[in-house]
Amino acid sequence: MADPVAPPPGQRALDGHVAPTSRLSPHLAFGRLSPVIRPLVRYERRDPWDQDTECLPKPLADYRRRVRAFAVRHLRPRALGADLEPHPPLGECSRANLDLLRAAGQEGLLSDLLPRPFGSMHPRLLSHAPFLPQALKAEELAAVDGGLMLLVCAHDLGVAPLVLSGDMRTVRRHLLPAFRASEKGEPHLFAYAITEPAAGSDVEDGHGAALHRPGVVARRLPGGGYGIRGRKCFISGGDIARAVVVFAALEGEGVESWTAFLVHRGAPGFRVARTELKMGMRASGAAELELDDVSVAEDAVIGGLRNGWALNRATLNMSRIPVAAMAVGFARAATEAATSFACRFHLAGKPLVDFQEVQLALAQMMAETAAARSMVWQTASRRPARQAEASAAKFYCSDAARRVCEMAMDLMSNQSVLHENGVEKALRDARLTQIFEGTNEINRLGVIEDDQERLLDAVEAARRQGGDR
Amino acid sequence: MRAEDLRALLDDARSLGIVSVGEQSAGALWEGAPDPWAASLSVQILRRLARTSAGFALAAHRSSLAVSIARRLNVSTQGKGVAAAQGRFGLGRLSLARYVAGAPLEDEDLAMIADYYAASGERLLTADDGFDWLLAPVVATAGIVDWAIHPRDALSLRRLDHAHGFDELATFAFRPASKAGPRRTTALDSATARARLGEALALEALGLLAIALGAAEHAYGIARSYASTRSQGGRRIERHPAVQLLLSSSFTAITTVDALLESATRRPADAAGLPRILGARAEAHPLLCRAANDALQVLGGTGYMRDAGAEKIVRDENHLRACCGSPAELSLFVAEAERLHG
Repeated sequence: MADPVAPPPGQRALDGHVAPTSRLSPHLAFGRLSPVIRPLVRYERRDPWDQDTECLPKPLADYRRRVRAFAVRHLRPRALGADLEPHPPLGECSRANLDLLRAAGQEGLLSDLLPRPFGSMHPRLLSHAPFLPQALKAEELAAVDGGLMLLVCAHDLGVAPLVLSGDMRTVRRHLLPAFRASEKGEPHLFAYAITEPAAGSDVEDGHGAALHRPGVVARRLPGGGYGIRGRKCFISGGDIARAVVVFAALEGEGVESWTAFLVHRGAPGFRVARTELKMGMRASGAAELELDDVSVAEDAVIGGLRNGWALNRATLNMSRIPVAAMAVGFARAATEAATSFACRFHLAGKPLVDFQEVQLALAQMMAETAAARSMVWQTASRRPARQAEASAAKFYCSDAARRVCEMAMDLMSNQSVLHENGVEKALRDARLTQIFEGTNEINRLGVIEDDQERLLDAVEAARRQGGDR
Repeated sequence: MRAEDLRALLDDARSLGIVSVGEQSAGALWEGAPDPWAASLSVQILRRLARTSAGFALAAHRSSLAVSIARRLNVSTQGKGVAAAQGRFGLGRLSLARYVAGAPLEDEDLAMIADYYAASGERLLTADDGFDWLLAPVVATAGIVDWAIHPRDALSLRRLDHAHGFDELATFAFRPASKAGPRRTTALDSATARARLGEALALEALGLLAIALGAAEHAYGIARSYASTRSQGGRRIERHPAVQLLLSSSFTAITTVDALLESATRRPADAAGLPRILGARAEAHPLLCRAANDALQVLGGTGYMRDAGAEKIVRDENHLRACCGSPAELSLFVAEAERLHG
C-alpha cells in the first residue's frame, strides 16, 4: 500500500518518515524556536563517531583519531584476508603480520602503556584517565579486524605485569629496550601466560585458585635462578612473543606462591608446541607453550617472589576494560556492516533501510553499541581499576556485542553467512570476548567477590535486626 | 567431516534408500510428505542425523526434498537433485505470505515476488556440491510461482568459500547460465502453484528446524560430557551453579523446541500449516543458538577451539537461522498469514 504521507516529488525520505525538509521535521522545527533555546536543541548533521570523539578531552580525542587512522591504513586492507591465512610455521610470524607490527611499533602502539620518556603515551593522557587510551585503541582496532587487533593488543597484556611490578629496574632492564626496539620498527612483543591445560578459570578467580594445583612449577637452582617446568595453553601472541610472562608456583607450594617470571623466547627448553585453530580472531595465534626446565636468572622474577597472584589479578583488572572495548568494536563493526548493507541492498527496487523492521533493528543495534561504549568509557575513566567495575564492563559489553552481531546477522538474512559481508566474522570474533580474561560467569562472580565486604556487612546487619523476619 | 567423506556417505544413504533419488522409496526422507505422519518421520530422522553431523543432515534434506517436490510436481528426474526453496533474500516479506494464502496481490506484492523468485536472479544455497540438477521456484508468469529444473551444466555457479557454517558443504550463488532462463519449467495453474510452494516452504522449514534441534542436542551432549569430567575448585564443574545454569538453559531450550517441533508436525506440512511451522522456526532458532552457545561456554576457552567441536555447531546453528527467513522475517510472514486468516 502506498504511503499516504509520502514526501512530495523532489524531497527525500525513508519510508515511514517525513522528509527532513518537511515542516513537520523536528530538525527544521527546532530552527523556529527562540534563539535562546536553539543552542540546546538544534540539529547538526554530524557523524556519530566524530560526535563521541569530541566529548573526550583533547589529548584523548587526538589519540582516538590517530588510532583510527592507523587502523584504516594498516588493518583495513587485510581485514578479511588475514582471517583466512593459514597458520605460519610454529614460532614464525607471517611477513604481512610482521609489517603490521612494525608499523604499530613505529606508531607507538606497542609502547603506550607508559608515558614518555619511558613509553610513547602522551603524558597528558595519564592525567585524564589512565585506562582509557587502551580502551580507545582496542575499540578502534577491533572495529576493523579482531584478529589483527589481538595481534597488537595481546602484547599490552604481556607488558602489564612488568608495569604493575612498580620496579623501575624491571622497567629499565626489560621494557625500555623492548619499547625502543619496537619504536624503531623491530617489534619486541610480550605475552602473558596464566592458563594451563587443566586450569582455565581456576587462575582467574580466588575461590577456584584456592584448591588449584599449579601445573607449572619453578624450582630453585643450586647456582641461583630458577628452573621452570610445565605447559601453558591458549596464550594469545605466545607464538611470536620475544618474551613471555610465565606464572609459576614455587616448588612444593600452592598457587599462593605464584610468581611471575620473564622467559625469553630463545631460552633452552622453551618451545611453542602448537597453535590452535580458533573460531575467530584467527590472525592472532593462541599458542601452547612447553617449558622443559627452562632456566631463568634471579632478575627474571617480576614484582617479587610470591607476588604473582596479586600481579595477575591487578593485570586482569586493567585488561578486562580493553576486552570490553574490543566487544564494543565488534558491535560497531557489525552495526556498520548491517547499516551499509541495508542502504545498498534492494528488494523490489527499495533499499532494505526503507523497511520498518530493518529500521527497528538498526536503531536497537546503534543503541546497544552506544550504551556499551558509555560503560567502557565511564569504567576506564576511574582510578584505580576496580575488579567489580572492570568485570561488569567486560561481561556486559561482550554479551551486548554478541547480541548486536546476531541482530546484524538476522538483518542480513541469508547474505549474512558470507565471509565477504564481514558480519559473520564480527560475530566469531566477538564470541571470544565472552570467554577470555575469565569467562563471563567468572567475571560475574568477580563482581560479587569485589563487593564481598559490603555484602557481608549487610548480612550481619540483617542478622542483628532479626534475620529474614 | 571432509566434503568427500560426506559425499561418499550421502551416496551410501542413497543406495540404502534413506536419501531419495528418482524412484520412489518408502523409507526415504520426505517420502509421503506433506502428510503429517510422513513428515514427522523425516523430521525425526533428520534430527537424529544432525546429532552426529548437521552437515550430512542438511545435504540429505535438500537432496531428498528436491526429489519429493519434483514428484509432487509430476516431474520425472534422474540423478542427484538439490532443492533451493529460498528466493533471493529473506522470505519475500509480507508478499509471499499473501501469495501463499491466495490473497489478492497488489502491485508491490507482484514486484516483491517477481524480485524474490526472479528467473535470472542470483540466489544462495548451502548444500552438497555433487548434484546433477537443481530445483527452484521461479516466476515465469506474473503472479504465479512456478518451478524450474536446472541441469547442473545449465547453471552459472559461483562458489562462496569460507561461509559461516557447514564447512563440509558448499555455499554458492547460482543463476541460469543463459539469459534465456532455466532449461525446463513446470506450467502450473495458480492454485496448484500456490499449494506446491506452500508445501515446499513448509518442508524446508521443518527440515531446517529438525537439523538445528539435532545439532543443539549434539552441542549439549559435548557440554554435559565435558562438565562431568572437568574439575575446578575441588569438584566437577557440573556441580557448580554457574555451569548448571548454562546446562539448564541449553537443555530447556532444546525441550522447548522439541515441543514446538512436535506441535508444528501435527498437521499437514502445507500452505495452511505454514504459520504454525514458520512461527516455530522464528521462536526456535534463537533458542537453539542460545543452547549451542551455552554449551560452548561450558567448555570455556576449549570451546572456542575447533578441536572440541562446539564452535562449529554454534556456527552451523547461526547458519541455519539465516536460511530461508530470519526470525524477524518469519515473524512478519506469520503475522500477515494470521491477519489474512482472520
